[in-house]
Amino acid sequence: MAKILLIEDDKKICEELQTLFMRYGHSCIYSMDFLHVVDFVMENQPELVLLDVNLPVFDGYHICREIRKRSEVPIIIVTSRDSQMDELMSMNLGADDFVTKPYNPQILLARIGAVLKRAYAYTPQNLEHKGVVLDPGRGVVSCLGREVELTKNEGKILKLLMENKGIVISRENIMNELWQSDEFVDDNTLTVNINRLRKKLESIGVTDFLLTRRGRGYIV
Amino acid sequence: MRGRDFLRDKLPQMAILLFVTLFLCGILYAYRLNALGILFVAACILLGAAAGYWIEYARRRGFYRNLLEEMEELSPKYLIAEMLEEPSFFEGKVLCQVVREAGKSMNDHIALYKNASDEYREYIEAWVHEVKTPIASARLLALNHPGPVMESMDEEISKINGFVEQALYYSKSNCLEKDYVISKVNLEEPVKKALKQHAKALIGAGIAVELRDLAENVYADEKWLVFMLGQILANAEKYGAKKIRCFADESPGGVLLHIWDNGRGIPEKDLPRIFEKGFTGENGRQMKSTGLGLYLCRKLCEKQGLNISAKSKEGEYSEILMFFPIGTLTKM
Repeated sequence: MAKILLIEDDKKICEELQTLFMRYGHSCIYSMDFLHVVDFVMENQPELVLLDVNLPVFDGYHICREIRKRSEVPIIIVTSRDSQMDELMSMNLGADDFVTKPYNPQILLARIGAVLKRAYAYTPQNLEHKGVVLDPGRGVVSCLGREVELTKNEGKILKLLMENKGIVISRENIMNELWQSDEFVDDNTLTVNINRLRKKLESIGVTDFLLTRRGRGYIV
Repeated sequence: MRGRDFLRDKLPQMAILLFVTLFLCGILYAYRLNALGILFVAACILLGAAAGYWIEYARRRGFYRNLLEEMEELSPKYLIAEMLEEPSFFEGKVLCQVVREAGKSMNDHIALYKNASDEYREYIEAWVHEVKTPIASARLLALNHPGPVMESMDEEISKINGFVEQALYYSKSNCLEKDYVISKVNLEEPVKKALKQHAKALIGAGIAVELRDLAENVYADEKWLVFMLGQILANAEKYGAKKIRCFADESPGGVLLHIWDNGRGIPEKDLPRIFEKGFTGENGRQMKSTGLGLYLCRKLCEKQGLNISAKSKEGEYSEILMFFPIGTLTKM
């Protein structure tokens, strides 16, 4: 998918973001040399730059301006200061988006997705597991030529499970994911959604795909 | 300063003068001066003294009257030294000098504490921004190593983040003029943001959320609003709510936002005091409350010109009401 370049001085955050992005199919590079950071960006030609503001040597705003002089690559600025002034400054310097620390990683991913979509008209890739294919863009799941349309909630649930295939996802996590996209579902609604999703999967001949781990959650 | 006070003050001198005059008159009488001569001498002495007293009184009266008036009008009374006009008589000059010096030392003292508290506040703000980096990296760590342990770790990290946020707003709450932008806000936005921020805790407590009629526009600072709503939601979760209902309705002169929950409620005797600083009440003592959340809400509301109040029935529900006034001028 996309090649993301990190400019962040906290090595741990770099490593963890790299793991996270790789898990979601992006590739990710970073460098700890902050003196030649703009050259590093130009050499690597990333598709997106995630830029922290508090950096050694030059601050993020300066780097943002320098990158803009030479490239139109989408830039998301990350900062722990959340005043309106900082946001305004980021936008004026040509950043595409502005995220405050401590960001919710899911939201960060969603923002990255949105910026990529704007910049490259890029659509999320189909997810595939055990012959079941989910097209998150259209909200359609298919298997062996048969397909069925999903509601927004069902699509989100299946996407989350398929992105984490082989890992048990707790009900709380699924609900959190839905809440983050403005669907404030409660426990009962989630049960209904899961049941409907199973029925729909069965209607295209997929059985024993979405499994319940009692007391722990769901897994595909 | 009235004439009577002045005379009373000068009573001993006048008594002595009168006594001396009478004594003099007695001696003159013994030397057989005629009555007219004695009267003339006495009148000269007394008139001369009276003229002296009058001049003294007139010089002081203007100065003291001015001083008392200034004192009455001045709102920070300690600034009186700046308002003093140098008088022409000696005691006045001494007083002036003493008050000025006292005022100056007072100002130095105040400046010392003000600097210290400003520095401390700046330090807290800088610290809060610093600590957000490790919080962010801890969150990422938790997400990258999914599992039940990390999940509850993530919940704890969320709590830490909540407390850090509270500290930031607390340190800012005394000089909020610094960052505050009142703009048109649709109530739906801040309510949803606050719910998302506290999603982990609310879901963990199995709370069902119901939103309706929130599409009202109000004038407030959205960031503060999200923070305040977050404090209210966290309270609902803490005091055992299973259902939270957020809705708004129009009331005379503005919009009223209701945050209702079916938690244990607030005892009637505690209700008037829940917005006080450090007040924990009966429920709070059982739950280790800090007594800061609602206090900060009230303070932030006051700064924005909003009104916050609470209703409750113990054991049934509690409801926080936020009133957003909407001026009629703009509707013309």
